[in-house]
Amino acid sequence: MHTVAVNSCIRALRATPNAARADRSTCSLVIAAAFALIGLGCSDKNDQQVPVIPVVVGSSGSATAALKAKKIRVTGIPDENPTELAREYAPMVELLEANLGVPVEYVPVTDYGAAVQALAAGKVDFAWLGGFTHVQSRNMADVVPLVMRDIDRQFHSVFIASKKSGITEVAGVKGKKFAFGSKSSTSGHLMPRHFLLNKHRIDPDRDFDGAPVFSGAHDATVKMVESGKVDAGALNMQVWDRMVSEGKVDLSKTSLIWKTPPYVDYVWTARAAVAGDVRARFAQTFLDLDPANARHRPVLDRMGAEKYVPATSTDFDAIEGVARASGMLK
Amino acid sequence: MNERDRRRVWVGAVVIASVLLASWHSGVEFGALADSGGWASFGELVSGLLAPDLSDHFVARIGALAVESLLIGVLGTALAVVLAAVLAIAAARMPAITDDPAARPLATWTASAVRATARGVLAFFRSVPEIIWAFLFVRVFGLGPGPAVFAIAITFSGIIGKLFAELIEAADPEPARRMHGSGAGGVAVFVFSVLPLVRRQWVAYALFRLECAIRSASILGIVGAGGLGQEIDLSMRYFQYDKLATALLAVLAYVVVLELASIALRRARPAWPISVFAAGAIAGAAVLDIPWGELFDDASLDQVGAFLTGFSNPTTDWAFIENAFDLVLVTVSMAWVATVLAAVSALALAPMAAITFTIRGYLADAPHGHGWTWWLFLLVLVPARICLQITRALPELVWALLFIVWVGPGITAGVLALAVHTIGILGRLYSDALEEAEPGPPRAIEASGAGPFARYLYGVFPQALPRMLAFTLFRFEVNVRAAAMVGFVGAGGLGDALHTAISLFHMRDLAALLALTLVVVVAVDALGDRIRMRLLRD
Repeated sequence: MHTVAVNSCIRALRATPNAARADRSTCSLVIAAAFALIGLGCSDKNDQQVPVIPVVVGSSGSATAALKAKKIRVTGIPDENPTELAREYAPMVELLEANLGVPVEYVPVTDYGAAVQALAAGKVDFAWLGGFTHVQSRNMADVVPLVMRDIDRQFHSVFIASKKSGITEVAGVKGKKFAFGSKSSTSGHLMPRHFLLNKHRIDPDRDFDGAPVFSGAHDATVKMVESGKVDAGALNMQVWDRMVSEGKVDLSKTSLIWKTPPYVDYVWTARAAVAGDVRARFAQTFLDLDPANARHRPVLDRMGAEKYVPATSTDFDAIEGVARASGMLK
Repeated sequence: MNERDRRRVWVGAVVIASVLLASWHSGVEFGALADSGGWASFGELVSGLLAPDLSDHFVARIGALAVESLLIGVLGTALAVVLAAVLAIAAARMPAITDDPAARPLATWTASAVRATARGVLAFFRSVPEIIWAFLFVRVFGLGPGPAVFAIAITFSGIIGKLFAELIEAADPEPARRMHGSGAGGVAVFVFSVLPLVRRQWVAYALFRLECAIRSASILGIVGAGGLGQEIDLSMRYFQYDKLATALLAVLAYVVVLELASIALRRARPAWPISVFAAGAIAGAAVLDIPWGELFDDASLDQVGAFLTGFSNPTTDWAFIENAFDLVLVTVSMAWVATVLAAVSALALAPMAAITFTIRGYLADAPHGHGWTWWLFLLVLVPARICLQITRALPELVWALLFIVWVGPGITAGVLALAVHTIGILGRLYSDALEEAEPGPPRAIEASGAGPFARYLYGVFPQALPRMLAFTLFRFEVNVRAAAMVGFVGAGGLGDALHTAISLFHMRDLAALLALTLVVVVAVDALGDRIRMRLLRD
């Protein structure tokens, strides 16, 4: 360990043009070694103990290079907290590795746009995107929708309110504090905004108590409503259902007030540059998921689905229309 | 009432009126601090903060992140200094050389075009807050310390480069002129007759900024760019106040240790801080996972292209622009209200924190050793200093996140965050100004038997006032930029709009907003410079 640190330090000194200046004083080397030691020691621990947020930086390989290197990178929009996301992706990554026969790496991101950008820039090959982020990605790069959950064809958002606020129906959110999820979320922002405006004639930019709050993720919205920081909020119905069934929501403080009409949401999106057979095998892995299979069951359960179905580009035309009308897609 | 007094009353009235107007326009509601929701949130926050998560693995993780932040700050500054030197040399009007009347018009024109471009780049780099650079770089390079290093390199090269250029221009032109006259070229003149004159100041300023950069590195993780910030963001978003408490304590310890270290290093031989700086940068480059290879690859260049395309074609949607102008007003209002609030509070705290004033008195044979000197020390000086230290130590962004939990997201949280952090800064600067006041006048007043208030009001305060006003004005300028920064994490104003534009890939809107930010920051700086010059001359 120590030798590693000192060696890396010496390497760094040799590699750096500043080296001549730096070794003017011998103390530099000692201090550098100390820094490096602390740094290495800590970063080791870091990797072991918190696999949730490893520091992942995509290499500059293009898609073909990635495939030649027999490695596939996937990411997904960070619609929940990192612990939850790691739990969701781990079994999928395992399954994909088994079926594709190549290492699969999950690249975590902290921002919806970063997932879109990673896909568009070729830093990942596949991304689990929401309806809106999928539309963003297809406007930025050549991408193809592959598969979606059965529930994504008929997806819903839910509106929830804190009991304390006394709100029992959507009309009641007028003049109250309201939270969306991420700004780029389909079920946590775009569609709730659309239904508020077009079905309930509530303009989110004018009719709340102050500007709407963006919690950043669906579970965070629940926490905000539950704690009373906002009076009401809107989120992904599947996340709500799961949190309720797992007892992660205090139903004495929060209640569901409305379920939106259905729309199309999440989809596994591939870059068109990824070879056709790889895309096909990737999609098939999901289409083959069988609720009767004991190994598949947990994957499906966690995603709230019975099965996966093929997705087509036209499925998202309606979302694109809504996104343009709302000004979120420019 | 004489002319001077009348002018003072006028200035006072204008300040009060402008603060009221700015509060009204930006919609600040301080009541939110103490309404029922506010109290409940405050209670939760405090009870969580009193019980930090000290489990081994979490403390180890926080420790690792603190080291990562430190290395990010050092490496980022090292890159910034290199970039700053290059830009400064391009931006500065070199003494003696550019005034050459024999130069051809085309050469003169090219030289001034290069200068103007370099100046523009410097201004742009420093007016966009580092958190926004970090957010953009996380998009391009993925999570990790790399984006934070690049963000610090960009922002601080703008800040450092400006001063580097000013120092070149202020250098004695005689050696350069003589050397140029003997036929030496531009590079040789710079290396042998300008650089030796400014080298010492350059190093001193770079080291001063190093401290700021390291402090700033502790929070960039809020957008996923490595270091302590990422824990703060996560624990805040999911209301894990015990983890938040540990992270905040770590930031506090980090900043205090940093300050002590920099005091120690300033007293040491000059070779020491430079060695530590160089060693830290080398260690940072060795340990941190920086995507050097991706800096100029196709994907990154595409991003730069997309970014610049937005600039060549900024939004022309009038409704958006109108709204953006309103946001500028809101942002400047936030900075103004926060600065004035902080100045008033600091005015009360500063004399309490000044040791000469609180305890020693100005007479050589002052009656020391009274029992109550100790009490004063314990009950006035120590609490005042702790208060200033804590408010100053936590960066604006951390205060913003805390106040967002307390009063909810929005302008109010932003103003409170700026105000609280500024109390710490101004309190410290004010108390230094008070300590450095000439002892003559207060001594005379004390000798005539006057009490401490009279001593302060008539002996010390009038002396320190011009400097205090200059500091306050300077902080206002800093706060305009900081207001855009706190807005970025949900505290309203221009920053919020910037966040939306980046989040939704509205590059044309982003271009318009960044251009506006640049104009505002530069305009406020220029105005501040003029007023400050008048203040200090009077």
